[in-house]
Amino acid sequence: MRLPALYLTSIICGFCMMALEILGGRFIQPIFGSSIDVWAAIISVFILSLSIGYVIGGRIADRARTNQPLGWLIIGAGIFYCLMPWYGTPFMEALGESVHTARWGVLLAALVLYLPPSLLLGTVSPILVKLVFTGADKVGSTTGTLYAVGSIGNVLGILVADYVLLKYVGLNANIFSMGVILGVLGVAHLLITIAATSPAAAAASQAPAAATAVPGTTV
Amino acid sequence: MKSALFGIAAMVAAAVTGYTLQDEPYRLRAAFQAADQAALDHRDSPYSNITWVASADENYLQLRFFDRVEGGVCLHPSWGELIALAGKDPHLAHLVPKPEELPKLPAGPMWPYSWLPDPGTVSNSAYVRLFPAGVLLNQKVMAAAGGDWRAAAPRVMVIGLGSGIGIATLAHHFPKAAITVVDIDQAVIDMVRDHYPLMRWLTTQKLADGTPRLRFVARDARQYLQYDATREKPYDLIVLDAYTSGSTIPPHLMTREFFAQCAAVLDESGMVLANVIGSYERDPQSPGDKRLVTGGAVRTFRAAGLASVWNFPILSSNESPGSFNDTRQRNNIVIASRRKLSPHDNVGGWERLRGFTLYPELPLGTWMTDSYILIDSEHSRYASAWVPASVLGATDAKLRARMEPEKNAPDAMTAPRSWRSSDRELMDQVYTAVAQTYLGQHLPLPKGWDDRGSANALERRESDWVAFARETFRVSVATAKDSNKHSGEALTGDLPEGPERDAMVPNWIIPDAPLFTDQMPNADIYNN
Repeated sequence: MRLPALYLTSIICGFCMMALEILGGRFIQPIFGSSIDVWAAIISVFILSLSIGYVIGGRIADRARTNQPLGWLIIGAGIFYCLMPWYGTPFMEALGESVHTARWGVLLAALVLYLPPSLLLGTVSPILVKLVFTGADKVGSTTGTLYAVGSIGNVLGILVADYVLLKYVGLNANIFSMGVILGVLGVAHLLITIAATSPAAAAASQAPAAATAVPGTTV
Repeated sequence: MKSALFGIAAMVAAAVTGYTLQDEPYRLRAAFQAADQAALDHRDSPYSNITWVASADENYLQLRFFDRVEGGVCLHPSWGELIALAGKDPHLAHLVPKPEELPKLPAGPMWPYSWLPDPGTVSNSAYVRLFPAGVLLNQKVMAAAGGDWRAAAPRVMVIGLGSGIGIATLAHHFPKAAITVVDIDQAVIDMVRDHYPLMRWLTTQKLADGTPRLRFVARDARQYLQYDATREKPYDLIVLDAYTSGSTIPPHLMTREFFAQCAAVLDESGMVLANVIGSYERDPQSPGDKRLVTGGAVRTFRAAGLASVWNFPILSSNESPGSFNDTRQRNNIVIASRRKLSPHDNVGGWERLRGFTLYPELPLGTWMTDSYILIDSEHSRYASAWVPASVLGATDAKLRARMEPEKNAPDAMTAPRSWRSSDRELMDQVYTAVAQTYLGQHLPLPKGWDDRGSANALERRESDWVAFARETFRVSVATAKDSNKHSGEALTGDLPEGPERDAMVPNWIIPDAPLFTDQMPNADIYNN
C-alpha cells in the first residue's frame, strides 16, 4: 500500500499543477488579454516555482522522518487553490491600468497568483523521492517510476482540463474543487503516517523488513 | 573518440538534410487554388505566420495566416482604376489622393510579376460585404445624416484587421467614418500598411474635425476596450472580426463580460457587428458542433445587455433565401444592439438595407473572372483548381454555348453565373486545351487537371465582382428578414433563465446555446 499511496499523491499533485496552468491562462485573459506575453508569463512562473519548490522540498526531505511535512505542504497548496476564486480576479483588477497595460504586468499577476500554490506543489516531488526510497539497489527504479507517474498526472491535468473541465465546469469551480481534493489528500497524509526508510536501516535490515511501520499506524 | 566522430557525423547529416530540404513557410498552389499564384511578402509574427498571396487570374490578393485565407481583396478594380473613375463620378472623390500623396510602390523580392498589386475597395471575401449594414441600421447616425448614407459620420471600431478589406469596404461607402482598428499583432498591421497602399493613405487622411479617417492600434482588444475606448466613447459601431488561425474566435473575445465592455463604450443606438462562423443545425457529416458557436454568440450578446440581436447568414452563390441550408457552416453577420432591430421595429433601417446598392459608382460587366472547374458530382465537391477561361481561347465561346446554364431558384443570386456539363467529349476538349496551354508555357498543371480523378462534370463560372458583391448583400438581407428564423428570439428564445424558459426551449432553433462567460469562455472549444 505504501508505494501506491505515494504514487497516487504524485499523480494528484501533478494533475492539479498542470490543470492550474491551463485554466490559469484563461483566468488571466479577461484582464491581460491573450498576447504571447501572457503565455510566456504563465509558463515561466510555473517553471520557476518548480525550481524553487525542488530546492525547498529537498531541504525539507533531508530532515523529514515521516510524511507529516508533505501533508502540510499539500494542504498549503490546497488553501491557495480554494481561496483563488475569491481573491484572484479582485486582485488582478486592483492592479490598475498602469500595470494592466505594462508588458511585465501579467508577469507580476502570474507571480502573485500562481507562484505560491505551484511552489508548494513543487516541493512534493523531492519529499516523495525520500519516502519511496527503500534501498540503494532500487533507487533508480523507484524514483524513475515516481517521476513517470507524476508526469502522467501532469499529462492528465492538461488534457482533462482542456477536454472536460473547461467545457463543463466554470474556472472558479474548477480551481476550487482541485483545492478541496488537495486538502483531502493533505489531511490523509497527516492521518496516515508513512515513515521514511533511513539508508542505514535499509542497508542493515535486508529486503523483508524494509518498510518499517511506526507503532499505531498501518500502511 | 570513435563514438564522438559518429555522433558528429550523425548531427552534420541531420543538419544538412533539415536545412536543404526544409519546407517553404507558405505553400502556393495548395489544393484548389489557381496556378498563377505569387507571394508578395511573408513574415513571421508571435501569433502566426503571414503571407500575402495574389492571383491575377482569380483577381485576388489574400492575407493568409498559416496558409489559411483570412481575408481577400479584389486586385481589380485597383485603386488606380477607382481614381480614374472618380473623374466621372464625384462620389468617389473621397478615395482620390493628392498627387504628392500617391505612394511609390517598392518591388518585393518574392514578387515574380512585373507589376505590384494596388487593390481598391472591392471585397473578394463574401462576409465583408455585409459590414455597411451596421451603419445603415443605425437610426440615430442615419437621421443625423438626413437619411443619406454618404453623409453618415459613424465612429467605428474594428477588432481584428486581416487583409483590411472590411475597413476598405466601410471607407468606400462612408466617406465621413472615423475608423479605429485594434489588432493584437503588429506584424499584421505592418503587412497591410506596407502592401495595401490605399490603407496606408487612409491613415494619413483627416476628417473635417481633425479625426483621422483610419487609425491602427496594436493591442489586445480587451485591454483597449477597458481603457482607451472608455475615454473615446461613444462608438456607433464595433465590428468584431478577430480570429486565431483555424476559424476560431479568441475565447476571451466572446464572453458576456467582453460584450458588456463593448456595450459600455457604445452609443445608446450603437451596435456590435460580429463575424461568426457557424451553422444553425448540427451537420451529421462534420465532427464539430458549430451551431453552438452561432447560438452561443447570440445568447451571450443578449445576456450582456445588447438585447436585440439579428443574424444575417452569408449565402453562397448556389443558395437562395428559400433553400437556406441550416446545417451548412458559413459566415454569419450577427448584429446586436440595445435598440430593437426587427423589421417591424426598425422600419427605416430595413428599408435602407433593401434599397442599398454596394459600390453604386462602379460599372457592371467590367471586372470579370471567367473560369472553369472540374466537379465530383457524386460527392458534390470541386475536384480541381479554377482555370481561367482565357486558357481555352476561342474554344471557350463554343463550349459555353453547349453547356447548360445552372438553374437556380428565382430568388437566388444572379451573380456569379454558372454553366454545367457532364458531356465527356466536352470535358476532353477542356482537358486538352488546359494541358496544351500550361505545358506549352512550361508551367505546372493546376491541381486536379493532371488526371481524371473523380471528376465527372465541368462547371464554367462567370464572376462579375461588383455584381457578386451587390448580390451577396441583397440575398443575405432577403434571407435575414424572416424573423421566425434569424432573430435572436427565434434562435435562442426570449425568456430569462428559469422554468418558464425551460418549457419553451424546444421551440427555439438552438435551444441549448451556451452562455459564454469569463468563467466559461468556450467559444473555441465548441469550434472543434
